[in-house]
Amino acid sequence: MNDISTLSDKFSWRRMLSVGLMYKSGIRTYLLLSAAVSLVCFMIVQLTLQLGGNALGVYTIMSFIVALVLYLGPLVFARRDDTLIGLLPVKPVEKWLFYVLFSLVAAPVVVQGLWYGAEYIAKLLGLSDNITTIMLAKYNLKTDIFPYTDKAFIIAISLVQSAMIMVTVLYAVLGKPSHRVTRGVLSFFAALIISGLVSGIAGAASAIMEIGKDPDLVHHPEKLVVDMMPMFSIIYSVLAVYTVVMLWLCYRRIAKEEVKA
Amino acid sequence: MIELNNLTYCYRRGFVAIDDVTATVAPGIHLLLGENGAGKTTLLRLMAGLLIPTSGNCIVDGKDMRLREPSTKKSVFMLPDTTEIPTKSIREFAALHSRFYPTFSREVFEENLREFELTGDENFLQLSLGLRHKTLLAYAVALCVDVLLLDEPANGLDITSKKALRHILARATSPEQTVIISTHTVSDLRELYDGVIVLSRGRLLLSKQSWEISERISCVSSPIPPYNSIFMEQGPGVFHSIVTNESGEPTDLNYGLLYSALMSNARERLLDTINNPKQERES
Repeated sequence: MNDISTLSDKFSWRRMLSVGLMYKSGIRTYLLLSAAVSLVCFMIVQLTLQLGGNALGVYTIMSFIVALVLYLGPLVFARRDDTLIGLLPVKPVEKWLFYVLFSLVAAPVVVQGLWYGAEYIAKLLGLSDNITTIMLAKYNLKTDIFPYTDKAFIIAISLVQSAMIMVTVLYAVLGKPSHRVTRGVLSFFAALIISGLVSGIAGAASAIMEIGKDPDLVHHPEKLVVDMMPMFSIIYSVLAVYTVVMLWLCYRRIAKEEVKA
Repeated sequence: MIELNNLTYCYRRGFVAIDDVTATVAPGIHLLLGENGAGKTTLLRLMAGLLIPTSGNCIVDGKDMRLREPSTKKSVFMLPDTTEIPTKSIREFAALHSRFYPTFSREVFEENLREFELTGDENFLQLSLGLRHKTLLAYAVALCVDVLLLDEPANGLDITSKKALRHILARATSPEQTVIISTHTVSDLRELYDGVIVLSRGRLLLSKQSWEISERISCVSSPIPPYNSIFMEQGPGVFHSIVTNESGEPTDLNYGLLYSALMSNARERLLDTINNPKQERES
């Protein structure tokens, strides 16, 4: 990266990545910490499953902790003073792309990649099956209620929800220099609660409507879920649009940023 | 060279921090003066591209700072009066940050550190304000950028360090560089200034080369008040005055006295004397 200074004014991937130099120690600390948290949480869930105990409760808590670490990744960019970053000879789009790729790609790859990677290794070694499979069997939960294509839909809406929360935190962190970490954390909880409430209320309303049309659906939850898919499609399409709008607002914030005294 | 063309900057609540400033700042070391809240830091940040003008523009070496292109930004650096670095030591910071600036000189950096009696490996967070400032100054000057903006560089420095700073700026700045120093203590670096810029309440009062000013006025100290002085301040047993320079030969400027005069009722007469050559005034 020694020749960053000789690059032209055109977009440069090398210069984009070099933005990370200004956050090197913070990024390193975050990645190490998040990897450690992900692994430790995974092992706690595994131990609970092996030794007995409230595995569902432990799994819920550990999943939340891992999600917290993942969604608060943009806090790496929270600085009290933006002068040096503001002076940096990089294009606003390069800065934006670095923040977005780190928050939406790099952090999830590390955090969730380690979890699923550890799960896969445990399965290969014959130590344990997939955690979700174990939990569903242990608690006798209905599992195969979606056809394959809808499983892809579930993954898609999960990605949209994750992206939506992370971009909201990023936008909050890119605001005024004061109380950035607090704003980031509060925006995480706000996004989580609001998306949960919207999904819950819309889902409940949809379920009530469907059951109202066909009371027999109470005994066939898998059919009910399939009938509710259009509602979920609408909700998560709105969240996807929200995410895109927030990404654009993040770019605008960076392009028009003013570093005041 | 820096060109300011009808530069105006308003904060969100309508406060006009910089009001229609037009000036050309030639290469050299320039003193930026103004009262508290005059807009000095705002002006520096506009020149550095950290703020976007409400109207007008700031052109550095032919490029509009508003565009924030990397090719323009790598020739400008501003050192605020306080800032933090994202690394443990200034040396680590220099290793990362200097990659963005093609003009960075490691030799100048090492020499600056030696002059300030620093190694560069000190833990930045454990340093006092003055020592932090010295490490940052050593680095900022070593960037050797075309435009270097220093906000209160002597702040927190002891007498020896101020001497070292004078020496560093005299040694390490080239004639092609434009260095603007905003400071309230004009005496610290007075021998270095090639020009002076004076702001008051966001408006530009004066932007001139020192030799131009000193060809038209003289700063004199005498036991009795001189006849027909433009401005006068009384000190212990002495009168410091600004008078018209009849000879037209450049003289030493007393920037503090000049500033006091510009902030007084003598402003209009002083500016008339400075801005208009003797022949024009006489005609």
